Amino acid sequence: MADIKKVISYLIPLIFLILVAMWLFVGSFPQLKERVGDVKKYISFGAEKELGPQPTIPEDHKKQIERLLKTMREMKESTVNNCFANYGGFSNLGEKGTSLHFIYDSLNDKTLVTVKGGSEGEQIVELEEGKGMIELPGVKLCVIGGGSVPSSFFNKVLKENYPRDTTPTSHFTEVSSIEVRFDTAGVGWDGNVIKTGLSNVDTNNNFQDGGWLFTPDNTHICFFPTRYDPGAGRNSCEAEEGGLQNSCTLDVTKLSSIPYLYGRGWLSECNPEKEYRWIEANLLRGSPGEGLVSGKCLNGRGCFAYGKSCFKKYLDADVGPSSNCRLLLTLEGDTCGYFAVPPGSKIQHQGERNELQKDLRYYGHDSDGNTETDLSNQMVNPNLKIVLASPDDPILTCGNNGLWNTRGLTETLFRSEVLFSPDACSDTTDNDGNGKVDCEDQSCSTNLACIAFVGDGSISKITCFDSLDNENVMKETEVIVENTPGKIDCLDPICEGIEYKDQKCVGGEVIALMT
Amino acid sequence: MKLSKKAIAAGFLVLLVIALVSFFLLAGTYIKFSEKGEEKQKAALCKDSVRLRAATAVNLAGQEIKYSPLLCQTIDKKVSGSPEEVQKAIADSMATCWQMFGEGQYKKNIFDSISTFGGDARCFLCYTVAVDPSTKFKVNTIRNLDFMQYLSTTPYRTYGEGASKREEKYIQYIQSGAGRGYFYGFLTEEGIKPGRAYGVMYKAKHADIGAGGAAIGAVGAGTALASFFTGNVVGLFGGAYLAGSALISAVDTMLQNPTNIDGIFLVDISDPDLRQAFLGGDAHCSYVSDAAGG
Repeated sequence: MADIKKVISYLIPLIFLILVAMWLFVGSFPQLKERVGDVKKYISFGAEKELGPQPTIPEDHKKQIERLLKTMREMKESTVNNCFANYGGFSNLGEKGTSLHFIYDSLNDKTLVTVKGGSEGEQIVELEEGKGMIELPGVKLCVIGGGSVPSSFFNKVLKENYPRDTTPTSHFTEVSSIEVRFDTAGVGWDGNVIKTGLSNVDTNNNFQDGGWLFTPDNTHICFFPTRYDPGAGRNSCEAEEGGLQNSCTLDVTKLSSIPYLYGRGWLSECNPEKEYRWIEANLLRGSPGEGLVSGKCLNGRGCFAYGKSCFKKYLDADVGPSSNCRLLLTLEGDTCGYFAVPPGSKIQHQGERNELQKDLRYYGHDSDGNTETDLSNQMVNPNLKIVLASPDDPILTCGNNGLWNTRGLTETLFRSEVLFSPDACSDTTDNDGNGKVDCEDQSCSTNLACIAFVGDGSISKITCFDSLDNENVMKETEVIVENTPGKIDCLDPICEGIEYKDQKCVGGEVIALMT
Repeated sequence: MKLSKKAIAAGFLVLLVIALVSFFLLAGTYIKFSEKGEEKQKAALCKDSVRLRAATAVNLAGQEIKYSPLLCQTIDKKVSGSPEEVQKAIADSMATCWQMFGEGQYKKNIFDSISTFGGDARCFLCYTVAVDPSTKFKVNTIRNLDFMQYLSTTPYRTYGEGASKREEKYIQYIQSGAGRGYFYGFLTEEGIKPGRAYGVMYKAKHADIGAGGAAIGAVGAGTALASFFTGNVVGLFGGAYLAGSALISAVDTMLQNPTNIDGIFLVDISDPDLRQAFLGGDAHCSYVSDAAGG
């Protein structure tokens, strides 16, 4: 016991001395103090801490997800069956980045969506404050993938040649959950993936959907898992067990691809309220004819001209002010081009005034799609006459936002009279092809329409109408026209009701008046 | 009697030594005695020991050296009542487990005595929660989705007063209430129902499992397989329910997947596959033994 006391009695002063010495020396010798200070840099006490910020995802991912959810809700509300919609697609979601998790709640008939991101991509992100899960009531999940479903879908919906397959096989696969995320699978195969739990569907880089969604019944909303298409050079795409080839969703030049068919108006858009920057018509060059509003291209996505020899993509940014709508014309032959159409312009029914001729400029491209030419001066009649062919077609209006209001538009025929000539007035065929007009008379060009009354082998007068339908006789002359029967231009809606030489246009036909 | 200064100093030192030794001895004893003790006491002891371990860590040239022992013990509890009460009990257990291990605030793996690149995959079973078999739910079960929604929408705690009052949901608390965290639910189609038991686990952040080349391969595979865990409601792996070796393999790979944040897992340990996957001998999350040797 005495020994322990002795040891302790030595220890205490010893420790005390060390402490005092450290205090004294450190305080008294700057060099030593500096060295101790250096040591302090490498030694600290207490575990490092960090606070956790609220989980977020990149702003562009957020916008893409919001667009997807908005599109899915619109598809649910739509009354159009077997229709398509485009949400714009996803950019690279990033390794340990953003992911989406859809799960169908059968008990409550709704789909719940969770977005994950933040640290390590593992945290639930609230797109709306306090909502870790977003509900899509009444929405069921499906994919165009698994077994024979892609083939069935292809044959029923995308097949280029009619008749399409009408056998009652299912063309979609219902699934209970879907996950979308980025996946690293090796060089060339890194990319976004869609996981569904279906065998042969969940593979690498299988979500190149081009932003397309499909609903067969406004209840199921289907995603498109994809397969790599090795068939460059083919003009079509194919279906595989795992899904459609990626060219079916991405490549507008493949004749059976969704963007090609949708752009031609051959696939139904789910949202009848959709507004388009572009509409497209196909016309015969050099003669009037009926055009089909066959193409509808969404705002911001540009538009591909349809023509057997004119694949030209017109980008919104390259074709003038965004305040204008676009009317894309492809001509049989080798040129395609566009009109910039100002807001307020309308394509209306026969008998109603159309105003498309204002400030129209036509830019043409040759078959290689590279050379742009202003072809406006080649138009014999600078007044583009374009009216809707069917009274059932919706009026197409260019809105103030430079977007066509094509509400309810699926396939709309319009009749057009757009003439082209290498030399503006050397071709003196009138706009109906039924006589001669004085092309030197430019006063017609400032009015809304111009017709020529032809009778007894001569043009008796050239009449222009203003926007209030007031007739202005611009010229009365005698021009000999061989073998041309006298008639009223009943194809022109403004002739409706006009009497000329005991004749009148009624319902688009000339009738003889009793005198 | 007047004591000399030497005697006072010596006495103080002796007391100090005795106090330190007693602390460790009593702590062990306390835990043994408290096996049937209150949940709060055990949780508090664990939490304090974690804090002490963190506070006494020495950071030497970027390496954290921790020497203070963890005094944590798995807490077994039985819950009953309405579905709402059962959900609250489980959610509270998860929140408490999160609190016990520092709420994700520590930058390095708290289990590692010497931190390397982020530590190995280490887990601790904070709770086993058995739902009393005699409990009757109006509906048969609490579905995974329902519980996920409960965690997303039910406030765990509130801040402020009046207009500035703000509620923090369970998920928000775990994810960003203090440090960074995440949550995974590994439940089966059975969901949460009477007669089944659920494990609440803390998983520390880690870089790899420390197996060199093997780990690198596993990381690649892990990235792919981890994505099978759909929306935090499991049993469901990418739309399909896995079972048996496929499930065990998927969980293994997922646990190996390096994560730089701490997490809380809820596991249906009544399911033999999940129990094997998480608690079996080959589980890739090295389980930290509790202070009672369990």
